[in-house]
Amino acid sequence: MTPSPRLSRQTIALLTELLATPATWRHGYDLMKAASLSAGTLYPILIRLGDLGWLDTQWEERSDGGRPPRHLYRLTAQGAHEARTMLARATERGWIPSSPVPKLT
Amino acid sequence: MTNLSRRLAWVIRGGRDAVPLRLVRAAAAILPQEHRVWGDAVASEIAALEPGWERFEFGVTAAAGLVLSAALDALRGRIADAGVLAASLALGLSAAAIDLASNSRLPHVILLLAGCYTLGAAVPRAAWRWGLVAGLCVPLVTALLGFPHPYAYDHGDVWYPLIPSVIIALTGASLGRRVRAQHPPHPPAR
Repeated sequence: MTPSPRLSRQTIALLTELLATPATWRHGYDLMKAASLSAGTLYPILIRLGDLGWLDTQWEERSDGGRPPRHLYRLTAQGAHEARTMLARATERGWIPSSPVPKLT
Repeated sequence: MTNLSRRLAWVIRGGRDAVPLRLVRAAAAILPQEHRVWGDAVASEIAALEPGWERFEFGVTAAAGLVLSAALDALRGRIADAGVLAASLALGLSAAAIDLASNSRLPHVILLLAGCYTLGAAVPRAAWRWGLVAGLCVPLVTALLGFPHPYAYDHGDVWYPLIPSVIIALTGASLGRRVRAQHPPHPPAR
């Protein structure tokens, strides 16, 4: 059985957000706001997704005003596939309101 | 002064704007080695925010999240350890049963050594524990049963699997560590 993150409301919100723009690199603050999570909830989920190989990460190549480069995130191909399957299953079972799960183009 | 109080004092001395960053650095220090880079990830995010309440709140809650993640890692480790200890015990009891039922030592020695090697490779951290638990089962079971055949005359002979089991579990752990070093568990790349 493939390991997967716990299917909490917060994980669903984050995966939905990451699936909405699968090719775009997003930083932590942006994801936190978009998924309506606190930073304290966001980072443990990101760490877990990273451990599972669902999350692709990279550091910004250039940063403004001398600040350190930000850490950026998006789903891996495997992560996007697993997340879509997981969200579809959760929707079927009525765990989350029926909503279109974004498809990769 | 404990580590925790030293860390708290270090955080408080930093002033309001520096506190979130210091909290994150302190929290990242208790993460497992492979997750510590997440401290840099949060710190870079804090540096990108304007000083003020939002930055303070982001930093403090992110630090709490890192502490939670460290706690969950520790808990997962304990559960995994309990499972492997149970497997070591089952392995040792099976080896003891085969030893007492068979006229040859070979079957239970092969089972014990192969099992300890596998357990050591699967969970390398303090792998001597798996060898010790499995290796102790043969002498303990034999002693509990009153040293039946083939140990009726030479009770000391019953201890022979102990040291090889520990050594082979550590050998398996060495292989497990080498494999993990070649295939790290997706830490954020820098």
